[in-house]
Amino acid sequence: MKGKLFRFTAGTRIFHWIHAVCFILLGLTGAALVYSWLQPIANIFGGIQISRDIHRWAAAIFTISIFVFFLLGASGRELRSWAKSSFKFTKDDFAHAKNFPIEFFGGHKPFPPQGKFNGGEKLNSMLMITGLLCIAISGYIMWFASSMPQWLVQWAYVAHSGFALLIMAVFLAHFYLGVLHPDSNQALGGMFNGYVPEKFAYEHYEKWYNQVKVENKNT
Amino acid sequence: MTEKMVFVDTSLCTGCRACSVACKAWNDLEAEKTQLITSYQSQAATTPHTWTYISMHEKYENGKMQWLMFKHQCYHCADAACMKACPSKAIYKTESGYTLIDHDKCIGCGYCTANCPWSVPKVDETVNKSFKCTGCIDRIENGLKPACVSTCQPGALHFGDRDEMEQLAQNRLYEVKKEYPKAQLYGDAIMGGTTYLYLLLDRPEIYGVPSNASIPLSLTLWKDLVHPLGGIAIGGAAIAVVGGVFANFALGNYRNRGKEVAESQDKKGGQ
Amino acid sequence: MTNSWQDMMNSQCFLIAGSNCAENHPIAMKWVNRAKAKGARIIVVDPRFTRTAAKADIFAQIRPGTDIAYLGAMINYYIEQKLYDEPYVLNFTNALLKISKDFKFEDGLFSGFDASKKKYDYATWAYQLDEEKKPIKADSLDDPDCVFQKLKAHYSRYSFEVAEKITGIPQAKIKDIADTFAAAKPGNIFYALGMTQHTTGVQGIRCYAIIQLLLGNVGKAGGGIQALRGEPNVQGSTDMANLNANLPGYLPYPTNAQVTLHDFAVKNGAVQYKPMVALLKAWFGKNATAENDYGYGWLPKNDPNNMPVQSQFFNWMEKGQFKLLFNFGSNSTVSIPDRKMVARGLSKLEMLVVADIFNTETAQFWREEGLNTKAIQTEVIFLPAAFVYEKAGTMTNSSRLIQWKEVALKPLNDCLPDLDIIDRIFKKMRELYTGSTDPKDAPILNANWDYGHHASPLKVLQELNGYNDNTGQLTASLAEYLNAPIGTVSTGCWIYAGVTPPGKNLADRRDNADPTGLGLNKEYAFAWPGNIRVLYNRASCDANGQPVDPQRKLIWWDPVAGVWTGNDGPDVVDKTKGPETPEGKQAFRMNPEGLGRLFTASYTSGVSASPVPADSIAAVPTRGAGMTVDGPMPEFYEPIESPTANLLHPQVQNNPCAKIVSTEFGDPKDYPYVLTTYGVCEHFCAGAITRNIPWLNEIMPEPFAEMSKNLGDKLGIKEGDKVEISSIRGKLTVRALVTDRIQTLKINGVDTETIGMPWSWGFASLNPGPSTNNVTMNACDPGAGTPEYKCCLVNARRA
Repeated sequence: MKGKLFRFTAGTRIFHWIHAVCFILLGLTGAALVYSWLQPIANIFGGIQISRDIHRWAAAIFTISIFVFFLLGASGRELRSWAKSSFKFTKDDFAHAKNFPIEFFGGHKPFPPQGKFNGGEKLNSMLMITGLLCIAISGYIMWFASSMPQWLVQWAYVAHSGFALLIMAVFLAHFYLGVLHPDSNQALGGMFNGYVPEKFAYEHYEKWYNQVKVENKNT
Repeated sequence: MTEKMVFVDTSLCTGCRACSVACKAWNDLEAEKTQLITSYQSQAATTPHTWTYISMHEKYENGKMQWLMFKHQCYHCADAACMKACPSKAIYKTESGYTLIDHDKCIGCGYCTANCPWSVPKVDETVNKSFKCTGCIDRIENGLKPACVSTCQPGALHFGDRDEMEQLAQNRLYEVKKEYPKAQLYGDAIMGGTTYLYLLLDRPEIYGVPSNASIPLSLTLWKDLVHPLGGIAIGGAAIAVVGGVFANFALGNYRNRGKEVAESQDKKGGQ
Repeated sequence: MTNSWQDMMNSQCFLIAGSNCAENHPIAMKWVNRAKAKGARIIVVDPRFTRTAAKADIFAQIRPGTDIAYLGAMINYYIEQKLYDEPYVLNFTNALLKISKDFKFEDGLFSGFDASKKKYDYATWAYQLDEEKKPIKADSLDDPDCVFQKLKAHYSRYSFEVAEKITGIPQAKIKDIADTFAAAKPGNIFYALGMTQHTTGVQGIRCYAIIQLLLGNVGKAGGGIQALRGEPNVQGSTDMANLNANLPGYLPYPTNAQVTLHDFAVKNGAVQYKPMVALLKAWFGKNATAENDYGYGWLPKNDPNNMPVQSQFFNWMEKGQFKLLFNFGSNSTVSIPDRKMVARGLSKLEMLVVADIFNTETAQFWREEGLNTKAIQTEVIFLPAAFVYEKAGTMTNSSRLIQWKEVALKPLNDCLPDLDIIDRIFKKMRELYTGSTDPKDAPILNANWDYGHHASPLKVLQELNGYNDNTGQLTASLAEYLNAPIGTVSTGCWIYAGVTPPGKNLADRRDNADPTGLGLNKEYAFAWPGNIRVLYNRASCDANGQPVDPQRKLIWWDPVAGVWTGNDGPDVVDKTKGPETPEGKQAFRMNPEGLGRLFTASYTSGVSASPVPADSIAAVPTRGAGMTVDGPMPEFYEPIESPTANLLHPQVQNNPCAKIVSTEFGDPKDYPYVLTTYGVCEHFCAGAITRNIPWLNEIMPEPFAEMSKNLGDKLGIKEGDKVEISSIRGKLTVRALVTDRIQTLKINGVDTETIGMPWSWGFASLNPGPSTNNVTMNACDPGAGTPEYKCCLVNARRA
């Protein structure tokens, strides 16, 4: 596609959207379960018990999809390298991330060239991966509470709630940047058809841009 | 109604378990399939259908045998951890001191089970509601003693006004201590004071119950720290997002971006 | 019980031996706990550390069946240390009476033993009599002929050391028990089946009687001997004669030697003559007249040489002795020891009628494993019976308290109360016999059956109370019955006289006021005899008729009014006969000597000194003595199956009079462990009712075998494993409870293991389980006919 760079394989995109849908479902049903004043949300789904079932089904799909998509061929490689790179936070990433608040509120400050994922994104990924893992583990402990030590279940509640709240905050930021932010929402296309504008890629991921250009030339 | 109390004098309990049968009879709870576990005990935990049971503890020291009995049921704590944990506000305290579950509100999440120091409330998975001893509130509000108390033949269970029961417990402790120096009361110093007060002949641990039962630290952290902080985090994020949209608006980024897009399309069109 | 449930709160000390009251009589603990709160001590002697033992101040684990050894040592100790209550012993017991010089005890046998019949002739157990045929009294307890010296000599062999070797209880503990029990008065003794289910059961309880008489505990509030009866109305059924040598009110059953009523009176004394006439009048009504001996001839007679105990019936059935069995509320298929004989016997009947509320094992005995069902011709008829709350009538509890109850629930479907079932059968039978001239049908045709078109339980109770011909009304009191001339009153059970005076039903009283605080509750229901709550209460007073215990005053002689009076009904011969009269001295008026019997001498009072014509009324003595058939004083014998030899007299190992029913007996080499069996709190008797109640099955789901940790280690059995218990007679597999509650005992230097098993399971019901009576042994006490459920030899292995 002209003027565009291929950024995400189909598998990755499907994975992302499965997680997005599950996340929203989990967030809504979870909130309805844990805050009595939010119980009306459960009515959207047909009641509290159905909400609870949805919460568990969504949780199962959420976690199973991780195993499935991380093991698939092309998208598996892509996801694995994404996860790995997210935790390689370099000086350049830091330089990008420290300007994040300015970017967030529409300003701009120059930053060193970034790889496929810039510092801000890595921060998002790190929080998401860590948080969701903790939520998943604590969630399963809660699901199977009767065969778990009581102290573990008690702390699982803290972890589940704590990380869920944190991740929801992160999610809001992610949603804003991906959909509402006039500059960074250009990335959204990458999650629909896999392509992002070249210019956008050049501005935001210069290193990656160059790398792809070299690769494309070679082929 | 004044505050009530049940005094469980384990020194008089013979482990006949009429209390557990009377409880099932009054509350119409079905019997469960069991097998012998140890001593003559066949029940080891409360269940949605077993609100009270007796555990038996054998202790053999220096040629002297002791067979200790302990009646388990909801303690109806003043500071009820279950009530704090309940996300649905289904658990409430009565004026008489009892902790009750409103089954219209209960969602069966089991947070009460996990946060009760004795894991008393249990969720019936078929109806997704949590069940436990009600203190026979329906009886006591009509001038009757709880079913377990009224059936107890050896006189190990007493029911009455809280101060009267506390006095009785103190008197019994004084008597029993002469023979059992380790005798102690259980319930008065935990969970803000329980509605079921015990006289034990030995340390609570011998009976398999925690001496320092308290509201779990995790529960306090969860409800009093994590939830408010999480709320602040989400609120903060939401404000930031709104702020971001406004800022971008004010800075004209949406307009500029629109122009940019148009430009690029013009370019495209031009080519 | 000599006393009552409530009276237990007056005790200072309890010896609970042969009773597991916390489990099997939970109500007892209510009163025991009240006494304990006032400082009472509790001693428990049991083969296992039971839920009762858990409340004891002193617990002693005993080898099953050896109680007489340590109780004998206590008697010896009390005599040697002069711990007995001397005034009481002198005033109220036969301690001073002289025993025949022919009386002997040698090598484990009393004088008069007939080895071929396995029976004693009581002749040499007699008192020395004076010219008036009255017992001769010694001047002091030191007289070598007197009962006290016989007792002393007999128990001198029972040292604490010997008792330890036999029972396994350490000497020091036996001494502690003896000292504690003697020091804290009034002392109370509880027993139940733990004491009776032995081949020496009666004699064990005789030990209790001797100890309580020596310590002066009988007849006092908080004292006495309490037989904790095994069922809510078993006292009532005993009162109505559930032993085949009795008639209602404990009258001796006529034998085939007593052809006429006069023969019966000569044999049993005038005191039995009167209630017999009253009983015949109740049973045959207007058809009972002086001319026809009140219908005495219509009573079937016993053959004393051919009197099976209950468990022998099934052997006899197997031999074809019986054609029909009515089985009301009994579940013999589970409850009879060495139980395989039951189904074999039942399968030889022509018809079996079972009336019960559940389809019991007995009602479907043909399903028993190992029976050839096709070959069984027995026709079985099941009559659905009403449950206890579905029928009116009385229940007489252990306190001798006759309590009336109304119907609480209507019976389900076609279920009927027992009375209605029997009423319908009788009326139909009589209809079928109408017009018969066959003498054997006369009892049925002449019977007085006037309980109404629809049988009324109140009318039955009124028949038991009796009617007075002179007034034409119900007898108003026991005294009215006693004072009425012979032949003018009727009573279906003389000890119940006074329960329903005209226009009243005293059994239906529910006033539980207790003005004395002694738990007498005189206005609550009615205790036989004559609403006396503490039997033998004359013994609570001194020689002057004044209470010896100012805290617990039961009765006293009022010298001003010239009458015995008090908080309880005075248990005296005549209320107007003061303490200085011979009648006023008697505390035990049911004994011919009027004394408590340390030695059960053969003696009949009122025997004429000079010869009189045999048919004269002067030939009728007054009262005969109740005898203990296997000895005038209790002697220790090993259980029939025992792991060791009798230490006192190896040549007489077992009770020489015991009735042996089982045919196979195990050798300790093959079956080294002692099994004791019992009930648990959660199940009732053979479990016919309780095994059909899910809530009870939940708390006691299965039978088990309890054993020491030593035995568990030896057999490689952990708690929760399955264990196979076998005797030479059978086997079963149950869950093992390996526990500290049973310890290895040292018996005469040898480690001895005890295994405990409840017996309430069978192959039917909601909750079937293997029956422990597969392995138990059927050998019975010669006096009571109670089988020795409490000890037999078994082997055990991991299953």
